[in-house]
Amino acid sequence: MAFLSPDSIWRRFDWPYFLPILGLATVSLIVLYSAGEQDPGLVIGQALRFGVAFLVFFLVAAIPPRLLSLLAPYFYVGVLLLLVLVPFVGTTGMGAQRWIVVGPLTLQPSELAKLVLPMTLAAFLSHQDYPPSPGVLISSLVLIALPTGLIMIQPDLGTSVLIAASGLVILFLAGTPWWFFASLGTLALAAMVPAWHMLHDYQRQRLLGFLNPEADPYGAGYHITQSKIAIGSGGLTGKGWLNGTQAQLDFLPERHTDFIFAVLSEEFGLIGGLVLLTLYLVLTLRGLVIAFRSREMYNRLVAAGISTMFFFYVVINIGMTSGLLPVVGVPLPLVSYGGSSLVALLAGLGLVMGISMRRGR
Amino acid sequence: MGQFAHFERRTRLVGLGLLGLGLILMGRLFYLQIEQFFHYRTLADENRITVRPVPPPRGLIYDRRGRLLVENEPAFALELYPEHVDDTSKVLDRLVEVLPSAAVQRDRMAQRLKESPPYLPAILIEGLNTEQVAKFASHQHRFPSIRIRARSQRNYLRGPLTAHVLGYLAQPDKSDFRKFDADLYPPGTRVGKMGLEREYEEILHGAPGFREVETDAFGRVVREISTERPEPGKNLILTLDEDLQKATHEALAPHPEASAVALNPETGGILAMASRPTFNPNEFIGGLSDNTWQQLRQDPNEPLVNRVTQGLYPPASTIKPVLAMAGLVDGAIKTSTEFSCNGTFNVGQDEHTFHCWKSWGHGPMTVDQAVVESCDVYFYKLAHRMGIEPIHKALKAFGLGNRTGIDLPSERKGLNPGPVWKRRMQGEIWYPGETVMTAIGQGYMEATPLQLGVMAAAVANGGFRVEPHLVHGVQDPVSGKVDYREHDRAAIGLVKEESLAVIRDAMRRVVGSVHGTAHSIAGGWIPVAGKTGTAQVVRIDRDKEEQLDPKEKERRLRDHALFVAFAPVEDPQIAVAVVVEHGISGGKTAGKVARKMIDSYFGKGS
Repeated sequence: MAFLSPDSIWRRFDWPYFLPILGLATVSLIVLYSAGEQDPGLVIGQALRFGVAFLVFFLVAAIPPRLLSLLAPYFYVGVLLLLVLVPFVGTTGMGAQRWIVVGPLTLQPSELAKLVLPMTLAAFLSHQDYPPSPGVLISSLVLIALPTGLIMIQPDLGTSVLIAASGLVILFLAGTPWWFFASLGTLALAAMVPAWHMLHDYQRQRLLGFLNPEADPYGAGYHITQSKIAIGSGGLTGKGWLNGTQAQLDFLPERHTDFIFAVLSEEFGLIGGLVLLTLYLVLTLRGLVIAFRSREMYNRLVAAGISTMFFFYVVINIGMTSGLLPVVGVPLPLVSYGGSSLVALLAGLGLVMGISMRRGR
Repeated sequence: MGQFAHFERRTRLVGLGLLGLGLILMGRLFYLQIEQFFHYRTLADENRITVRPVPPPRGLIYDRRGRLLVENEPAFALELYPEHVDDTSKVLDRLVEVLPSAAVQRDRMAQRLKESPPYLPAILIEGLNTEQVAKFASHQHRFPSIRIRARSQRNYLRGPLTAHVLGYLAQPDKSDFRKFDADLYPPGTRVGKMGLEREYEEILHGAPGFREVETDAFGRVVREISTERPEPGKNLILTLDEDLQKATHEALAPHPEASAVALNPETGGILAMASRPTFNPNEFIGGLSDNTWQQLRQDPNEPLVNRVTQGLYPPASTIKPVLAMAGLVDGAIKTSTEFSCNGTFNVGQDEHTFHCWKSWGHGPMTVDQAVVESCDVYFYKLAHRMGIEPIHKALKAFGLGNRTGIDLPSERKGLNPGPVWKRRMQGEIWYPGETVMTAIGQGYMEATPLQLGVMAAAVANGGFRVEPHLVHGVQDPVSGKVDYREHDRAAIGLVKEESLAVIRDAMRRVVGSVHGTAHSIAGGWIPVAGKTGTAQVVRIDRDKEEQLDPKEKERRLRDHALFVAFAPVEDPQIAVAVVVEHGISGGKTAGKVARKMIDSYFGKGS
């Protein structure tokens, strides 16, 4: 159980990992000011959330990863219980039950699950033989499927996809043979038909709207169409900060949350988008490097799993705002307005930071 | 391969995969922002820049003394932007909550929404009063998809009094756009459907302006980019006299179906024109309910018909002065020529008998006496002597059987029958008995009250056929300059002054003499000349007959009462024609109306 001395914290602090995070936070506040109708209150509120989230980031980084790996199974069971509780005591919002309100705190168990699943899976796999046996693989799949399924019925398609993906990446890095993924893929294809019937109407509409947005320009396709117009009309250099007509004139829906990337692209153009993507790539690849350099299997799997999941966030969000992927409610990590997702994300990144600071030990 | 090496290889693979995904996203951005930039920039501009038409103010209409007959007043409507509404019925529920008075219109609003195209605002309610507007405005924040729109609407200040003259406005339909330039009619603007509003549509309407505005996604105007002012419609200055118009309606009031027209015999300018029953054009403004509209359309008394220009009646004895003059000019008779009336006249091989209204006969009559006492036998004999051709020609010269050319839509022609007409229409020859019928304005003859008025004017003005008209001048609302209109005035070649003098004197005695058929309206300081007529009602439309109760059927079989007049006799300034349907006696009922009109015109009205 290695807590670090203040001196070694400073020495071991992973600046290449931390600077992109700071950069993204800065971008977030700048774009939020524009997207939130130039309401300073909104920006200040988000800055305060960043403050809380950074506190969590450092706290998590300070806790020894091994301690967390020991606690992971308990966390896992706790999160599962919360997820089961959601339908009974959860608060409904936007057609989904996702939140549990405890006094002044709003808890979103699915956000916790995003952290806990990689930890649990990594902990479980790091104690097994290498490469994992079929029995271990089946157990791992069950570990992944439980939270994924519970979140899917909330319904929160985006988060369940992210959790499943992070789990699969960890399985892959843990040395799972290719044939396993091949058969999993075949099974998934076969499950598409029944899955379609299990989807909620609005989810189906979103998927159909994605395939043919022009068919319903004022319904499901409206978001995609307006978002593409905002991005496309930004051009190379953008219309300038606070000058995005699509965003400022209310054409763009949910523009400070899920569609904030369209605001950024409209006002800062391709250059702005590339800068943002570069920040994300640097952060993600640095996370993989940290995993790469770590010597403990648990650390490797957790760092790689969280980093990959983080980037999947980016891919899904930008993919949907630019019309490559169907609209599922996934925020742009660290940039979208909101609290619980931000805290969860920075907790995850703190975990990776903590691993980085203990490399070579 | 060791566990760690294996892990490192797979991590590299994942890293490359993520990098690849990142590149795909970058490529997507490049495609949207560079390749498709112009496409999306155009879409963005179309999204937010809209061109909105600004309807022009419609021209006003004044009477001859500059008194306003119709004004434009602000009217408020609620418009709904359908693309911003998920559940319209919920919105309507909330609206009814805020405006309880709108509850009765809920179904109609839902219907309008259904019919309205999804990309245009739908008009929910029109004709809101200021109180309702204020009430809605205080709840505006709850209705982001609904907006108040102000526009101007017509207010006919004299309501039913000028309904047939001014007409009314309504939503344009396809047939209107065949006639008028559709580009001039932004959604919501109205088109003239009747009367002067219809006839002078293009002058009254003006041209819309345009406002290029930047809007937000809700269509709210953020900023104005450019404007082009509308060109206001021009004002009309009428020949109509508001006071006389009112007096005419009052004089007609006792009669359910009647009409009267007064004109300046020198110019043809219409001084008054009234048709009963009438309707209130202001009821059309907020969009007439189907019920009211059907009621108006199906009313057997046809309130929407302007009887002055569209009602057809046998002119009866009112044409006798013209025939008398034609006889004198033709040489068939002299002023001294006497025909004796014993109450009947026989004509043709089958010796068909025609009766005088005075069955015991008038005795020997000269032409002037025949006019004064309206002796039918005299005119049977005169017509028999003249033959149909000169009669037909004379009536035609005075305007019968032709449109007068008045500046109102849908004027009817009437019928001035003759052998040519009969051959063409019925393929038969003209019989002498028909000539005799024509002489007393019966048989096939049909005339509008306006034609009779023009005929009276021609007798009054010394033999000129005037072109009746309502519009005296067209005023530019910006400069105030008035463009006065010229009107035709054709000399009737067949008229001789001395013959006309005889006739005019006879018409004076129709009123003035104790033997005159209109003696009942004698008196007063303005000498009036006139001629009575009693038109036989031969039949009632069969389909109408069935709906009528016996009492009403009896009324409808009664004769129409007609009267034409001019005054003062020496210097005629007004010519009048009155038709009272089923009014029985020309002199008493129709003559009384004319008398009241003339008294009012010369300042002695009640």
